[in-house]
Amino acid sequence: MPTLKKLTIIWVLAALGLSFASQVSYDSWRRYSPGKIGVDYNVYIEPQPPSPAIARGLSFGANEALADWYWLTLIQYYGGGTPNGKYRKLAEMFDLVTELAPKFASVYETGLVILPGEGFADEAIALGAKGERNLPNSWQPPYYTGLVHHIYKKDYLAAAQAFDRAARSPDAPANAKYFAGIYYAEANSRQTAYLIFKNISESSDSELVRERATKYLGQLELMFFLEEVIDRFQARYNRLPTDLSELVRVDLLKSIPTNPLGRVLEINPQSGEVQEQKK
Amino acid sequence: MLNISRLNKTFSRGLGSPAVADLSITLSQGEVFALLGPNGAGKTTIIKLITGLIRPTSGQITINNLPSSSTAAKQITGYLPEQPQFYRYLNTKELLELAGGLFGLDRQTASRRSIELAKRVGLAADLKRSIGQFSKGMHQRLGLAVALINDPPLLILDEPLDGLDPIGRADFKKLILELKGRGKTIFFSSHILADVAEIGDRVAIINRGRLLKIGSPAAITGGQKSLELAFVGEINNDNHA
Amino acid sequence: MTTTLKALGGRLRGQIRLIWLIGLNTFKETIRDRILYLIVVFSIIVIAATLLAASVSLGQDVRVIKSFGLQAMLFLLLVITVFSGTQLIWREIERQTIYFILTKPVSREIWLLGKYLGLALTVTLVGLIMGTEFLILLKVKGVLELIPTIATICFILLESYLVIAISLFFSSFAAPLSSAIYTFLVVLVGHSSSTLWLISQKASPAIKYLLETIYYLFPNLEKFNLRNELIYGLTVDRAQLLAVLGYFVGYSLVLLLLALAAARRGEY
Repeated sequence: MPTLKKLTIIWVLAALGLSFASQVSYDSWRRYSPGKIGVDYNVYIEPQPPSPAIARGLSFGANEALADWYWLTLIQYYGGGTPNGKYRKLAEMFDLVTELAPKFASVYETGLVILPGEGFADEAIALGAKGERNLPNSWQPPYYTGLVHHIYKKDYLAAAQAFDRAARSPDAPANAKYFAGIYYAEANSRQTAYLIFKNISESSDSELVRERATKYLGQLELMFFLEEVIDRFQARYNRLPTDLSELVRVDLLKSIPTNPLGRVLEINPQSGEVQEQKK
Repeated sequence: MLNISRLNKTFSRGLGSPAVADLSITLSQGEVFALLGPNGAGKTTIIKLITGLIRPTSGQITINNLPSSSTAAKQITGYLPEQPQFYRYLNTKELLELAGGLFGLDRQTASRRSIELAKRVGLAADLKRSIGQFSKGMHQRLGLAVALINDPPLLILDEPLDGLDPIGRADFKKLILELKGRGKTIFFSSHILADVAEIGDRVAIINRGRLLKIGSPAAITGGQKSLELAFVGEINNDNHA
Repeated sequence: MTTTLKALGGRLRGQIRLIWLIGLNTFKETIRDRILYLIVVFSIIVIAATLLAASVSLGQDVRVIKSFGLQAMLFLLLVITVFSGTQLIWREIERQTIYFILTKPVSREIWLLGKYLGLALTVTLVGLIMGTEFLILLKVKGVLELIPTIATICFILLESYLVIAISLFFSSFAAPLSSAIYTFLVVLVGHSSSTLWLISQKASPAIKYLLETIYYLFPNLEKFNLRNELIYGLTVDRAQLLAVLGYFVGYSLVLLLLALAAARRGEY
């Protein structure tokens, strides 16, 4: 008959073993099995962020620490992968962290890079706008927002405006203004693009950027010049030329000038504007 | 030296019966005065009123014409509570030095007095011993040493012989008589009649907060065989009144 | 005139000595509280946890170390303050050591101030231990800004001293558990002051009045929060610091005076 001491040790070990086995079994069910409650996504893995108002109200002065806590949760959430590959709470998490810590710069940048790729382009743009409000001297929020407008929304005017705002921040990279010019041109806001490129070609510290800006400037000047010639053609013949080479055939042009950017130009048949040839 | 005049104390916002009712006692210098009474008679309440731990509902207590609860009066009073308790993490010397410091003694004087008094109360060997290891009797001795640290003219002792073995009690009584010989005034409470008869100059018998009889042990004993019988008689008469 | 001043000076020195004696004794008493050792051990665990968290923070390690480290320091100091502060008076009564003190020529005012000083010394020691850990951590990371960090730690200590006064105030008339709950609630409200203010500005006039009253009545503990400034490397206005110091002195005085009034009435 084992002693009382030995019996106690045996029982303690058995109880520990039982609780350990139960925990492992439960965790496996929770993590790896399909949602047993009939929900699309395993809600146990998803974080359940409180509303920003509640989080602020219940933070009791620990806003920054709480923001960091949710930031770490967000990183684990995004890095951990979800069963169905869709991060439903991602935008909410970014919103929560930036509501708790409005000046947490890195979060805006990360959000603007990650969110659009996960289907949250609009939320990313909203995050960028919040970043611009809370960090008015920071070039990153509008800069990254511009990229989102370009890549995901194809809204070149909005992209140009965003890069323009980025360029006004101190420490903005030299190419912010440059990108603004490009996107204004892309969005057909050529007068704005022209002024921007002229400014860059005169004042940029980077020789490469000055050189590229001068080339863009050259293309815009060429476009303006060609449009003047097209106007004269239209006054004479009461129609738009079929292509640029017709201007040469009717002797309004000696030859089609070389585009410093090396791109082929064509006439838009509806508006009569000169534009880059669409691929 | 100590004057208690028409002292009244009622707890429970005046709803209960008074703990002390219309008590008047005067002690002259050098007197050993004993407060006798059964358990719950109000002895400790009276002593707490004297030391300012509780406030009287009405009446006055003065020590050398100073209000007894004033710091000036406390400067000349030494107090030994019933079942004294001290900071268990201090040793004898530290506690006595702290007591001395609270009386305004400088460090050297407090240190010297600590050693002297520890010796006098039989704790010389326990100067560096932590109070947490003390027995009840050692607490009592230490309490007396604390009460004497500033060499006060007036001593208020609540059940001073409680918890002492026969040798300790004999020693204590000897010390009290020594102090009396040096002109100290001693006010103590007890329910051990033999001790009271031995050392008390005057005795007051109280019951249910009221003074029943006051006088020398011999006067109180009167025609009874012993002070004990006289005491029991007084209490029974009062309880049946 | 000179004699009077001398006498007054002597008396004041005597009172200060008494406060110091009681304070030192209280320090020896509270430093023995086992919770203190738990707190110091816990602070080491917090450092380890903070470093771990920082390592997975996507390059935000310095930020996380600062925010978690300072928040943990504040929280742990507040735990000590609430736990020990609300028992300061009760323990003396329960262990009957109060008879030792109050029957000496020590006024209740001096006694209470001594208790306050003693716990403040304990909190300062623990704060210095944790603060030193934090400074070493930042130094090792190469991101230590000495003066702003020390200022932030000092203000955390200042807030703790104010909470000692709050806990002493409640414990002068309430039992330890109730005092602890009241103190804890006041600390929560005190840290919600900015939220209260924001809500009040958008509320109806009656609610606005009520909330603004609460805002001014309860201790505004967010004033002592320099953690945000340290995290974002912002500078602190000297006038702002002086204003906070003034607030600390004023509010603590109110609490201590009220606690004194309650202690004077106490019967033991």
